[in-house]
Amino acid sequence: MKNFKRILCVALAVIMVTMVVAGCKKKNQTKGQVIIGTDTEANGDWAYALSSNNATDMAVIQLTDDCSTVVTNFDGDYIWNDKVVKSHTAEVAADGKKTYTIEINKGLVFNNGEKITAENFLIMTLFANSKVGEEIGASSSAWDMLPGGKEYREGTTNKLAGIRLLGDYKFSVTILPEGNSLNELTGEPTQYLPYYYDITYAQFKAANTEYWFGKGWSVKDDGDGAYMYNKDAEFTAENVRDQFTKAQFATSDRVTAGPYNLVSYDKSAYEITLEANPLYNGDFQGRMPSIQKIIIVKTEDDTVIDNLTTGGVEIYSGIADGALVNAALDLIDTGKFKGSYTQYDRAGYGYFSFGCDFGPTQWKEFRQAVAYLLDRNEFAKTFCEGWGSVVHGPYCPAFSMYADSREFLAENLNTYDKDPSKSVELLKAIGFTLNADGTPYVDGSGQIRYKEVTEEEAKYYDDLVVKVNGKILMPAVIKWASSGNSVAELLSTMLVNGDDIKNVGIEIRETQMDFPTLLNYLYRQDVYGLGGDFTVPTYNMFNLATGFNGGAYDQSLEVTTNPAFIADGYNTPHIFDAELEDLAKKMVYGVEEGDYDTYLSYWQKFIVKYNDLLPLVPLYSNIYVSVYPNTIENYKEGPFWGYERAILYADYVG
Amino acid sequence: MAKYILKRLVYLVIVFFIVSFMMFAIYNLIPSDPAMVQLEPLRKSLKPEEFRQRYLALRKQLGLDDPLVVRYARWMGFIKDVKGKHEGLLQGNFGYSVTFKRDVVDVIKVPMANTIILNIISTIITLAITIPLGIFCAVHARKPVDSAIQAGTVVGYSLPTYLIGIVFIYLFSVLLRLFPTGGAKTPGSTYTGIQELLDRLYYMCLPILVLVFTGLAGMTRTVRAAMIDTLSQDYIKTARAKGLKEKIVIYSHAWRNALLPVSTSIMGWIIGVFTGGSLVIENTFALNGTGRLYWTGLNSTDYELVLAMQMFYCLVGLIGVLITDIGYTLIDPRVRIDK
Repeated sequence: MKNFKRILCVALAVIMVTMVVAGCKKKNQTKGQVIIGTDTEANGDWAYALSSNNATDMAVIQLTDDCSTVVTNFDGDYIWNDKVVKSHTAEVAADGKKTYTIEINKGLVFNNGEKITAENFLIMTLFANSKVGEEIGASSSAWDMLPGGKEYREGTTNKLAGIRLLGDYKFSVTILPEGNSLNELTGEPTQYLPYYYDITYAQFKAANTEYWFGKGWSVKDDGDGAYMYNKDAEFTAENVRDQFTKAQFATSDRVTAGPYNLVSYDKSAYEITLEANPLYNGDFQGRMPSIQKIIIVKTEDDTVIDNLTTGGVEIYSGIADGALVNAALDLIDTGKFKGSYTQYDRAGYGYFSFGCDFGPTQWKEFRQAVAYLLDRNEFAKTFCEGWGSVVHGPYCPAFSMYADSREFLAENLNTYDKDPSKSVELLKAIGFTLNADGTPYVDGSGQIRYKEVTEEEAKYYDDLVVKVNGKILMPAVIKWASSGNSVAELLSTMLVNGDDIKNVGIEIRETQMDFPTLLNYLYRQDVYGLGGDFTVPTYNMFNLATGFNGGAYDQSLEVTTNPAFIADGYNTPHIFDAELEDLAKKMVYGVEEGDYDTYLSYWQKFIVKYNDLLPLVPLYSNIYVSVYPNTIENYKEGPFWGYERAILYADYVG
Repeated sequence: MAKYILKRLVYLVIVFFIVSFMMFAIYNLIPSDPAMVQLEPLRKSLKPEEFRQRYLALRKQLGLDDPLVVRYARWMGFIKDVKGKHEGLLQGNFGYSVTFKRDVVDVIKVPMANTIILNIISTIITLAITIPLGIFCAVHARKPVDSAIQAGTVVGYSLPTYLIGIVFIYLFSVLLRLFPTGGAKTPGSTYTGIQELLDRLYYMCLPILVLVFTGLAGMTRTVRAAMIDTLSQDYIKTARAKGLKEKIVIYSHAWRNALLPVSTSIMGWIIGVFTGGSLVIENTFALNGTGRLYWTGLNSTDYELVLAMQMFYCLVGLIGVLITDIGYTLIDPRVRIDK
């Protein structure tokens, strides 16, 4: 009887375990497929350690290769990936060096079943920062902040002292407070610590050694730095180039560790097919894919509505054009597309910027006067056809800093609501009170205002200033380098050719040019073979757009006053304000990682200062809309969470 | 004949080099810096010094700091490149695409094949329709049926291809559900062999339909004009007076003579098979073709890609003209090109 009970208990236990396992299996079962349309055709370059990849390539990399120590979450914040990292420590030495020691979880595997060990997290860093990597085209600059990085990059040693392999599942990275080399531009070393986002220094992604470099390669460490090792070959570009290139452009059978496997990339049809990776380790929240097959196809905005109607495309992400958004929502409302939509604020905005170092736009009040002449809410409403909003500085509403500063910003930011009378006040305050002949300006005359300026202030405006009785008079004329796009057209209608600007006495002269030429004038860098000199300030207004990638918010180079950086194309509005630069620097290079309150305080001050100095006027920030079919649920995109992330959290319901 | 062909080949080589230099110079005069365009997306992710180093290295790699003539000679393969090797156009190296990060030859293969297949099919269908149609119109010149065909075909000629594409997608895909809206194959399909071929052809139907529709007017009018001219000749009247059947008069006497001017147009179409990547069609139907590739190359100032394509088109054009001239003698024995 006793035995029978034991047997019964064991049998019941076995049944329960079997049921649990079966239940778990069922939970992870994937099914169905979705077709995602994208307007960016893939290049088929899946190497994230090399130079830039386009949006679709990046999406495929994210979908197939996401085993990282540090990742970004839905809000775009950097976080440790607990599914990969078992433990991590950070130690700061007396000399200021900071060492992150990371232990990874056991049991992580690639899609071919191979174990993921510490070596897999180091191999790409060792490659990208080596001379070999440079020869093959890798773009990493991390070597500068790693002890021994310079020697490793130059090829005088094959060991990278700043990277240590401490065991099968443990490694470390040490960061120098100041760079290995003197910056050629400034003559000073680059500062790396303290850095508010120094968690990014500990970001390593697993890569399969054999897949990327061939048989026989591994990472070794004899106690003085990690290095690439192969008993049969030296680590040279010739020995790894072919395998690396093959892995980089493979159209199937890639060895990766992401939620999906690349099944095929059909260049002829612009089609990428991905299938769920049954050996996936789960994302940072342990999420596993629910959809079995994802097909990414090339789609055009012009035909996407037809594609949604006929089922040619089921998910179309990030629709920005207001008319297209309305058409897509009509499809949903009328049932022609059986699906739903998700919307979010764009992490960026369209704007027009000024040249803040010459002409009338060198005065803050003048820039503000121009801003007061445009109804930006109306502009955003018209341009985005109802699917847009306005921001008042270099931020986006999706930032957690913005969410935490909403009241503060509402109280402290100037929204520059349209008010031509304020424009006139500001113009008068800085001396735009004359006519071209030096006589006092009469408000409302419709003539262009002039201001008496010094020779220094008149620099680069020789073609427009007039000399009257020994005085130099500068007109309130802005020279606009326009790309002639739809933003420029609306700007012409609502600002440049409007009555208000004429009535206050300002004129904006538009010159249309192709985009590369516009960039040349913006960066003021001489370009080979043109015979011209783009280094001379010529235009003081540009219409452009910008975007934030999430993660690190570092504006220090965007407002730098260092002539070397400016000559190299940074700080394109040429806004020279020591306080602004100081705030931007202190925000990220003066705050320890984790000290959010201090960071936020600098961030708020920076935004307010920027808003006051107004080197650029934000025009519109789109509200993006993404449509998805009824066959999936829980599909949610965000400014820093594209379809490649959202699809993992979607449940297939058929 | 052999002497003539040899002479023309020499001309062809000279013209090729002149054109190549002109094209190279024109693209290099575009006010843009290919190195900067390529690196610009990395500006925010790289430290300034690293950005500068990479920029300077890329300029060196692309040879942008040398005079135009030196760069041209290097591109053609007359002199050694930055690696110290003769690796130019003459050595079969069409260059490296900075956009696609691969050799131009590898980049061009797939779109070129797509474009050629699309054009071959649409050209054959268009010629099969327009030649008989043109003859028919000429025979029935100035009658209501001729006017109706003229008016009907000119619609495709007059309207922008983009508009026709959109209208056809709406009609045949959205309303009638006969063809897919775009793409080159059934998404996610793993067909092989004949199934794959049929699937690809099915996806090509709508773009071909648009290409045929837009191409009807031109060739129909060319054939019609040539035939009307021929049909008014005295020898046609003589043939009819002799009591020959109308079919024999039209096809044996008139068409043979009308073929000479028409053949130039036909050769243009055949050349177009290789060079006629339609940006509009490829964009509308999301096809990977040479038109789109060329546009991408221009937008990203990918000079080597664009130049390689231009030189290929140039070569096809020059050879096409030579073949046309030789073809004249085959069509019309009265033409003697070696005299």
